Amino acid sequence: MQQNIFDAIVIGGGISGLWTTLDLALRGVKTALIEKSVIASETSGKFHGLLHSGARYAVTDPKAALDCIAENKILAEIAPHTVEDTGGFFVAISREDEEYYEKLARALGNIGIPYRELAPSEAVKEEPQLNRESRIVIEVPDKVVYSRDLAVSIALTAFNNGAYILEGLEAIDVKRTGDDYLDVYVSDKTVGRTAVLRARAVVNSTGPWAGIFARRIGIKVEILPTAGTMVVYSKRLTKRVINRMRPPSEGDILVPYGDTSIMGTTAFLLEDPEATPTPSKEDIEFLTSEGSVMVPALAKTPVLRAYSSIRPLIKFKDREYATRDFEVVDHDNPRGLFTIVGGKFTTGRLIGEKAGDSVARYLGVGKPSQTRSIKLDGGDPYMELKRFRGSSSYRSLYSAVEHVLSLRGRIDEERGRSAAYAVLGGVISLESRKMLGL
Amino acid sequence: MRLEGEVTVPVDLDRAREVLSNPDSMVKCLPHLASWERLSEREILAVFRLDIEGVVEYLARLRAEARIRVKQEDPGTIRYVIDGRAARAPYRGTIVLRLEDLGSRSTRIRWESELDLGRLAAFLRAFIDVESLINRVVDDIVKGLESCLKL
Repeated sequence: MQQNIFDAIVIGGGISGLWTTLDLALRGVKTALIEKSVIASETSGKFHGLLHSGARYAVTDPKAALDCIAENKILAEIAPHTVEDTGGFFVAISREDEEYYEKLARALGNIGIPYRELAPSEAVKEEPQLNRESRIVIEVPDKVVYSRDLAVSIALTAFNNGAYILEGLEAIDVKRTGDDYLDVYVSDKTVGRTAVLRARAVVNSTGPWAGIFARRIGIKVEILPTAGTMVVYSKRLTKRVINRMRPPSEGDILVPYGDTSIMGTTAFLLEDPEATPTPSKEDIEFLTSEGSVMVPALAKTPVLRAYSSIRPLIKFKDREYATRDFEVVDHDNPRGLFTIVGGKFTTGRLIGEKAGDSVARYLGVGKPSQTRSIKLDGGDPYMELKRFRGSSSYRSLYSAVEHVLSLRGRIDEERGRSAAYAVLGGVISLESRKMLGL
Repeated sequence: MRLEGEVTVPVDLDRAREVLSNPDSMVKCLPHLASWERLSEREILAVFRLDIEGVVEYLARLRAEARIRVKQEDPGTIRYVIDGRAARAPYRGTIVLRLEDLGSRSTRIRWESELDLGRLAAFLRAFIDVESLINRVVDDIVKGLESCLKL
């Protein structure tokens, strides 16, 4: 195999790793992303789909709220094909909820998150499934983001700007070699053998597993992996995201996701951070019960399925509480290694920008981040797939590509978009591998 | 972790004992109670929303369940034996209340609590202040009982 040398290797194809890869590629840094499975297959593909307006965090963490409202606007501008501008309601149902209103309104005003109060009767007109006993309703700019569509669009834009997206490669070790390079030892799951990729900088963007990966290579990074469950219902019951107006609690977000509704979320701790969290019957009953307080029809809507995922929680020295905020750690040993700790889907772009800043500074690259304003590719996944018809990977993926392309212009075109994105992700990875001789 | 304290409530000893030793009346005094059911004559299963504001930024209330067995050890001592789960992690503990008649419709309640979060406490300690969280929860419980008796 030929020696593959990069300026930067990003380990982990979740939302933070993808944005970091795109950020670096746009700065002209030769970057490879390696992902042990496929992109956005873990936490980034297993959340509730809410693109936060920040209102949820406004009272308890104004800094996170401020980041969220900024990123909410940016993402809607640069990736409109992955975002549905649903808006969101916060609804007070109980007297206790009502008491939270003043605090919430004050915090929204202080942070600058736009909101408007509606008469409950007006809110019910706009959202007929809303609890008619709602006491106070305010509207905030919550949105819905389609996870895989966005992940593949970022990957495609990165690829189109010179990055390599390599799926099926698991990083097993990172070692410094000489003064200038780090060697990343990878296990290639497609052929069952190991390989070495070399780079001047390496970013550990393994999300909730960043601590485990760091430990594997002899570094200490503290992350508390917490888990949450989400429940999917067979119907889309509301146009907007519906939030319970109360201090952030379990079971207070109902998201209209495509034709379904997703209720989130619970919170539980994992004693074994490598364990796979699973939904419990109690979680499903609890979420349904809580959700039906906001939208009574939920109680009679069939549950399609439930899923659980792990979220990274971190503790900063200067804050008294644990947070979903993020930090980019620049390690002294080995030099050139960076770890992204914490973070959430809504602020993924910002994480990528900050990680990009750190890596670019280390590499001596002066070009600033572009991701705030670049329009992402991938608006039409069918067209993007068509472009690969003449490529070297086309033969290997002929049937998958043509099956998906055959949906276009037919009854299932809209329903098939997600499949088109999924296959497009596979094509990008295969193309990247072929270009590198992997 | 062991905590103790005392409160004085403006009710006579018999009234305090009646409320605190009866699972049905005691449970309604507990703060942030979401639901409860009776499991046997002396035992209830209660679900709470624990106030953890300031501990974890994205979560201010955490669901916790507690199986509480109420024991009247002698006329002046009531013991609550607790087995519960919060965030799917088990915890256990006891709260002992010693009631003393101060006359003039006034009762002093000395309380001691012992809570054991098991291995979870060690795991959480790197990220959150477990002691202050437990302190807050116990303080909330005591205040709940106190305000209930004052009604």
